[in-house]
Amino acid sequence: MEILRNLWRRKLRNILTISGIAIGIMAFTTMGSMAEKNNKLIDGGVKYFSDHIAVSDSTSGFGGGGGGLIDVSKVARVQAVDGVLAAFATAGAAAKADSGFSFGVPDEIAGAAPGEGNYENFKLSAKTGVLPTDIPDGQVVLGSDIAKEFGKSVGDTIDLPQAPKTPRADFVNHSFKVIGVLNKTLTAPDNFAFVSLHDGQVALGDALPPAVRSQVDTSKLISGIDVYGKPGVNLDNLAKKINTEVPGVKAQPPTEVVNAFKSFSLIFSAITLGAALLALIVGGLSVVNTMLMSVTERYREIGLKKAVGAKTRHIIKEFLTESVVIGLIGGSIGLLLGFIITSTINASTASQNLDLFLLTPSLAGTALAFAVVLGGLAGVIPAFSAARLDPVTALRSQ
Amino acid sequence: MANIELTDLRKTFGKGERAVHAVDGINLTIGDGEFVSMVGRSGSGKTTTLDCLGLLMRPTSGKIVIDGTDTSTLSDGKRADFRSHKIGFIFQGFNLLPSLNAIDNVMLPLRYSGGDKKAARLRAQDLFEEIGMSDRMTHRPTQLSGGEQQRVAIARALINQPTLVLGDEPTGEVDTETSQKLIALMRRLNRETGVTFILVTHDLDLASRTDRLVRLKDGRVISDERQTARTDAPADDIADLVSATGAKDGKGEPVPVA
Repeated sequence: MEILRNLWRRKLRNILTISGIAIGIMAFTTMGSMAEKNNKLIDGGVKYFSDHIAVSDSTSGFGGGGGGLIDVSKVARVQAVDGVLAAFATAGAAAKADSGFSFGVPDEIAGAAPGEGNYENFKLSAKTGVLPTDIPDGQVVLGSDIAKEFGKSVGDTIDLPQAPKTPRADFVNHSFKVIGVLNKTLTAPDNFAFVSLHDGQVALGDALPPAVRSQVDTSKLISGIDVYGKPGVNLDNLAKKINTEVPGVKAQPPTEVVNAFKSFSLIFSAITLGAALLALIVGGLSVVNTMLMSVTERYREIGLKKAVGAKTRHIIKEFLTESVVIGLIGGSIGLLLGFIITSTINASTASQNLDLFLLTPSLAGTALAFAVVLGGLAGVIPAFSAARLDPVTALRSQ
Repeated sequence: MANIELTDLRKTFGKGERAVHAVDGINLTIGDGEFVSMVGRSGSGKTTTLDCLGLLMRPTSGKIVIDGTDTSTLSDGKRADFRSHKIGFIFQGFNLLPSLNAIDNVMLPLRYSGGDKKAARLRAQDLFEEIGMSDRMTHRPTQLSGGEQQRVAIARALINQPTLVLGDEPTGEVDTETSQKLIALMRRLNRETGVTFILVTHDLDLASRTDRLVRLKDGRVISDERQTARTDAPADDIADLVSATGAKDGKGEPVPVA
């Protein structure tokens, strides 16, 4: 209580200092939540993509992006490479015809061949209905985000891909019956609409320009091949082998994918947390300033306390406690503001499937602990300068 | 309660030609339960002597023995312990903490000396009765008059049941009437508790009511007299004290007589 009263005695200054800390912690919380969400996505991505080799058309860029189509016959060629345990065709297209920029994973129609689930290390679980294994034509299993975005549950029907506001004359989509909704994975499958391989191929064909569409047999086209290696086989080496032995395809070594994910994660975290730390350092310096002023103003009080028996450690403890309390109050306010901001933005962008922030308990705890430690550290110099005061000089000061 | 021996006590500030000998060889013995005043004009060394006696300042040389303990050998931590258990302080400016109420101010020394808090609170309540402020225990310093604040400070000086109370101009910031009441209170507490009081003062009314008057000049004791403490001495009757301290010689500051 005495500490709070001391703080209240210098209301304006302490409110400003606490605001400094609060802003810093708010920045730390919001930026950290963004990094946390991103890291979860990336962690999930690493798990999701590291257990197999993603094979795409040889003209594709990193991760299979921007590539063309693959003839389904390549699946057998890949399967024949020594070290390959199983190869599964995949086919799909964007689940929203007008999908523009997406901060996270874009919604996708994912056509998968039956049985791939038996090889995946990344296990999906159904919230309701069934898992995406051996999905019959005309039916769909939705990831958690895409189900939420379109408000669909088991038994509903959904048109895929979703029509744009002003569809072109040649726009085609199909109705699917929802037979399952998955639990949240915080990675790619959350935005997938899992369909049969055949329906995926149809969607792939529908996405082609009309002139091309009529000239191809979509049942022979796929967009990728997921390759699983035999036990003990190095997947990076296997990818290189596939690239050598099967012309026209590009096998991405999983380590490259994982490293790319990780370096992106690192850069993103460094930028966001760096900005937040800068804000916190400013907050911390204002605590140092406030506490130093507090020491100067309380010379007589310190002198009196020393006169009545306070030792150096008592004075240090009292001033440190005060600065820690400043940190704790500022941290709590900042955390609350961060929570309000992240949940408000998340709620307002939920309809666009833009879940930007993930405020985890560990991040909240770290933010609060950081504020307390910052307060404590900022109080060290003032506390020692208070403790070093000569009692006689302090008592006689004005 | 406290037996005090000062032996060749010296305190010098500065060095070489700029050295100031604030205390220049004081020898003094003060017995248990004495009510002593130290007078002298500014610069006579009385406050420095008090600071050394209160272990707030280390003397340059000499010895201070309190209750058989040679305090010059104590570490800073032990000196703080000694202060919190053996010495109470009364300051001119009251020095109450504005963030604490009256009873918490009185109990402040216990924060550092430890002990049973419940018993301490009861003792604090008793002290408030002694100083006639039982109805003011939860008041903040800003809600108290100067005299009341100094009474609280006196109670704070006694909370740890010290053997020695040191007062630095304890009546310096109150009016004459309040000053007389405070003097009477300290006198009564000295008699009732047997605690030794050493008061540095310019207040001749206060000085005249002590059992012993020590006059200082230039850091030395120039007289040390036992006196019959006056209980109703008008200020004019004790003007003779002034000449000895040199306060009216035109060089020093005037000594207030009321």
